[in-house]
Amino acid sequence: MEKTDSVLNLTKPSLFGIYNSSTSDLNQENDQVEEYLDGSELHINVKDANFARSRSGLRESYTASQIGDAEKSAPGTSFFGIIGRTTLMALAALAYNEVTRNIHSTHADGRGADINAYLLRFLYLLQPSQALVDKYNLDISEAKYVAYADYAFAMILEGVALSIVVPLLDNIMPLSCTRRLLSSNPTPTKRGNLATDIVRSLIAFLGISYAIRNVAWKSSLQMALTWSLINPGLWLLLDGTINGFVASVLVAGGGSAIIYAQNFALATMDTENLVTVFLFIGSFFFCGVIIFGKLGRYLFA
Amino acid sequence: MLSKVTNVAASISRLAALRPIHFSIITCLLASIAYLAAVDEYIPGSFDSDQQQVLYYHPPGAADYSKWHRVEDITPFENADHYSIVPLKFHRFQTASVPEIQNTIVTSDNERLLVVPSTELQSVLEDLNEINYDGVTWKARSDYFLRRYYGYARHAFTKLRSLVQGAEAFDIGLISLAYVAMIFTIVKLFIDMKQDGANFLLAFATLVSSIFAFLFALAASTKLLNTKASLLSLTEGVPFLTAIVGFKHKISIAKMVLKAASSQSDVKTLVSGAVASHSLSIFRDYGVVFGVLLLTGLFSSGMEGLQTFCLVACLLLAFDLLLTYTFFAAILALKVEIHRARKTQEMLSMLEEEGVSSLVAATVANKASEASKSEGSGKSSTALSFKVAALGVFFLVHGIYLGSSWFHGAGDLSFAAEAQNLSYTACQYITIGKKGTVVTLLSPTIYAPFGALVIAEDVVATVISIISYAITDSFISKFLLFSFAISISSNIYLLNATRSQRHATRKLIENEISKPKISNQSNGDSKPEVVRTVVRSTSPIDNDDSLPVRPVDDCFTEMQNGRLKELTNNEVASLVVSGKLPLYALEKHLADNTRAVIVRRKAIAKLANAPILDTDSLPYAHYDYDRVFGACCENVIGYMPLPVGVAGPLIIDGVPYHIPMATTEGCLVASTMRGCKAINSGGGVNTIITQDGMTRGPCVSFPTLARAGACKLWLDSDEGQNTIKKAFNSTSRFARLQHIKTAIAGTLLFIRFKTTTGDAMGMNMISKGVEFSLKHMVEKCGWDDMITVAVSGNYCTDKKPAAINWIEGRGKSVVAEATVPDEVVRKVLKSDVDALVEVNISKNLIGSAMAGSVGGFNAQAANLVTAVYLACGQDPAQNVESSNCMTLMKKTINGDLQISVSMPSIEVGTIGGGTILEPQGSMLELLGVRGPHPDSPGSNSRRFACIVASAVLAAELSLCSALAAGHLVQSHMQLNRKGGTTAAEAPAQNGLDVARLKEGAVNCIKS
Repeated sequence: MEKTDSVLNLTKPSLFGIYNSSTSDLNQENDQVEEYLDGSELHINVKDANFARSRSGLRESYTASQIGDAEKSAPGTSFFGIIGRTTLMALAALAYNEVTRNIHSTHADGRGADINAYLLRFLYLLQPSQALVDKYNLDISEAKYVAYADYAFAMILEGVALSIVVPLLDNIMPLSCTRRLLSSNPTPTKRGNLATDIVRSLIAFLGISYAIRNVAWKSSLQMALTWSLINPGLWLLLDGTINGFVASVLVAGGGSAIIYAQNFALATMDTENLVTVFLFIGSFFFCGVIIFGKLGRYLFA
Repeated sequence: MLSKVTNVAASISRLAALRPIHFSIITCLLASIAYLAAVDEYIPGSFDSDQQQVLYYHPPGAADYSKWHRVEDITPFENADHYSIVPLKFHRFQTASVPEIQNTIVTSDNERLLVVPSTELQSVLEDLNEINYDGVTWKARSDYFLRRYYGYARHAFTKLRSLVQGAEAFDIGLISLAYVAMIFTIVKLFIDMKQDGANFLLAFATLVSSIFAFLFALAASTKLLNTKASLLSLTEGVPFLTAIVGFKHKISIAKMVLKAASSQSDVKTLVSGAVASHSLSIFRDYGVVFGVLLLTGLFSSGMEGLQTFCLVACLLLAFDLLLTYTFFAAILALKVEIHRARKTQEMLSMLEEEGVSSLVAATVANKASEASKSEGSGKSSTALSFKVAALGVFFLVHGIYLGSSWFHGAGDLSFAAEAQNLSYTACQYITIGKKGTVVTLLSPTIYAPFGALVIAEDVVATVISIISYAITDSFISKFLLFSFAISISSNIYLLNATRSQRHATRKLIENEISKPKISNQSNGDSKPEVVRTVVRSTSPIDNDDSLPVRPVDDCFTEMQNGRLKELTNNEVASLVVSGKLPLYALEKHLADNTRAVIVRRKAIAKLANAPILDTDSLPYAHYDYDRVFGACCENVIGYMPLPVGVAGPLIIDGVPYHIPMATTEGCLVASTMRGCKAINSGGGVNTIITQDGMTRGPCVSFPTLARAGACKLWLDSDEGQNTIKKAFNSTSRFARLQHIKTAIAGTLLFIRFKTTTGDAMGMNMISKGVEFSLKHMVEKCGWDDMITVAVSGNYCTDKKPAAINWIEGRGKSVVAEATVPDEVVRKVLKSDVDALVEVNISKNLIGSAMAGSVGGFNAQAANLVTAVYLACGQDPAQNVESSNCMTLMKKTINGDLQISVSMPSIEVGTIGGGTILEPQGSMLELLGVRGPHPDSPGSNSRRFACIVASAVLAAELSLCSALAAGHLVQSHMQLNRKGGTTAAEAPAQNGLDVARLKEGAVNCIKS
């Protein structure tokens, strides 16, 4: 029989008539929207350029198609979202500073006070109006709120600085660097439960702080050395990604360099004390990046 | 290296899974021993009850308080005077005043000191056992164990308070935070386990495993290594350790095991596989913490406290790891075993109710129990609770037995109270003897007013002391030990029995089915030809044409002699063709279902003159005919393969599903796929079930209209409904009568029974109940003149178009709804919301109304319903009423499309019928709804009905949008044709629009 349109219409299923195309066309059309399942999470990827551009304008329910656990629900980019993140950062930074200050204050030989002073001077660097005050020798003792605002700003800056490095590296570095090392999890990039993770990090750090405060160390150096040796373990336990390690080392190095540059007195210090001080300062930044990196991956990723 | 460690871990857990009871009991025993070893060190004074009295000595001479000094031993002062001082404490209550007693000194309001020579002590105390004073009876209380625990608690509290007062606020904050984190971790463990269907027991087992590890670590450090970590360092360190290490690996392992319980693999492989797959992460975490602790321990030389704590913590981690591979693995294995055993039984009874022959039912149940999902198995079986109870009793008795000295050591307050001092007042009342005086200061005796509470406490204490006394009895204790040994071994035996039950049943079934084969093969040596035939019959291609065919009469004689099975296939076929052997009886006579199919094909090929059946055009090989025989089909000559496509994922109520469809209509799957994608973009489908009830409508007749009317009124009354319900429900474990609806036509009465049927589609179940109910009406309810015309009176209505299903519903009534964003309608569906709404109204509503449709207000519901039914083993004939569907669309305020399908009569089941066949069952498994739901019967089939409705929704959306796109193209073309005058006003982008619309455009005339 000749394959005329009418013959084809006779032999083809009725749906061919309606779609007026072969199945392959329909399949091609379907290919425009790519979907894939990752666990219980459905990702929708639309190839149509026009469509993709206008996608962000869609209603909430469209993005809500990303079904899955609540852990994915990072705060939005709305005004309140930004305010919330900043507040969270500042509070976390404040808490971190307070805790470390308390750790350092227990040093028997007074090194701790020095270290706290150095760190405080470092914070000064992040306070804009303080710089003006110093420069023009202003007296702002009356205007306390300026100092508070200044301190809050420094906290925000510090929190953001500590937490942004890891997500930044995650974006730049190859995927293999964001993967957890030595993990039998089939999807090592997929983070586990956030709440448990943060609690673990926090408690690990606090546990170390507690030990450092309450154990009768022989010298500050012994204490600093132990802490520094524990740090890589802390990283492997809590983070385990190459990015996390690189970020921690970078920030620890950078922070130490800035503090060294800031304080001329350090140049004259003897080696043992210098090592002690910088082991502590390095640890401060190293642990900071590990803990804030977790927060950062949640807030900025 | 790592793989070696993993292998070792896997094989240990494999062993544990193989002998779960051995492992758990031995671990428990060892833990008890470790507890005993450790408790000795950490709870001082719990075993030595001698410290209850304190001795003071005063040398001869004038009484001087400063000369009293404490002595440990009484022997050097044998000759001195002996006095005893017993403080009497009175627990007051409002009205009663403290009694006056001879020989006592008032020290405070509620306290008296009794000073007597030691020789008289016994008699005085006995006298004072009960004191009647001022109408109130005071009774001496001995120091029962509850009070002692209270004492410990108070001691711990005061110790804690003194610590807190001494510590810095920052440290207190840290420690309390650590405790909060520990509690969080433990609570999280229970929540996580609960979420994933593992029940409380598993979470508890996880916790117990860690506690055991702690006990082992304490015992090992104190007894083996002779280092004792202080209680303080433990209370400080353990919360940190718990929060840091956590339970996430154990949770993950448990989840994996429970998930994989659906696989067919055996328990030990399952457990060891799950454990092995986690070893890398586990070793990383434990290794790091272990390493850090070890390092700290090494670096902190000279700091005793820290070092010992590090040592204990390292041991704790090591034991925890070991227990994960042994104890925890054993518990997991037990859990899976018990679950599987229970599943088999449930499945079996359900299938049998559905009328599947018991042999087939047993096979299916066996298979399914292995493949069943174990999620949501919250209900623990009686066997399980028995085991838990047995374990609990074991621990209790063990505890009481071993720690019984706690109950016997009366008045041991040395730990609970501070050491007693000799009071100044008391000394004044003691005369100093010539050779000095020794005073024994006893622990206080407490008096309480006699009342119900006191009696109750006495009774409890007596019972407990009797029990603990009985247990310590040398004979009884051995007897108990012996009976525990018996209990444990019988538990092991029972477990092995349940484990082999499935195995044994399967073996039995195999024997049953392959009986002839075995018997033939055993005789095979003498009859090689027979063996050949048998072997050939099981091989897919049957080519025994080379063998000579004996005449029919010879074969008939052989058959008469009972040697039918020894004939070749061609010979049997010739018997069938000549009418000597009925076509339907081949299975029974040949006792081999596959061979029966082969023979039947040969016979039909001759009878129907259809040589095509001699070829493989209609396949027959590699098919499990044992499940078909007696359940799905008779006179089987093969099976009809249908292509199965899959559409999806489609998100239904937040869960993605891949929907299998068996169809030969091109475009159907692809178009459904398009609908799925559009719907997913809007967040998926939401479904509700409005009712769930299968119906059967028998027809009965009465001699007179009056009787028929009276019966209708009775059935409609509460009394009638309840009577029938009771009768009906007695026939099945799963069928529950919901409602009876009646209709009368002349003297005929139609009764529509509507019942829930669990996860089965339920027609069989309900027919049984209906027959019984009608019989009950005739025999017990006074309707003896009622005649059942037909058990099915077409008032059901099954497999026929009928308004009653559309109006009243039948099976599951489902409404599915989705909102598709305007953007998606335009870009994915290449259509327009307004056009879609218009097409829907004109076609699905007005068009169907014009055609006088009942329940046909849709575009292609039947397409999807039938495709899914065929793929999933549903009754395809029920597409008639299952396809009843009304598709509605409207534009939301946001300009998006809201589409819904209302399907009042979806008839599906996830058990029985075609679902017992492996291919169909596997498609149900793909949807996660195979078999009966473990906890709530009917949930699986309701879920499946929602999936069917959602698939229909996707297909409706796709087809209607294709039609709407065609409609749009035409209207745009018309607009353009209107020509030059309007061209200027027409937006320039019109051309663009048309081009876009043409993409998905169509000829809507053809529909």
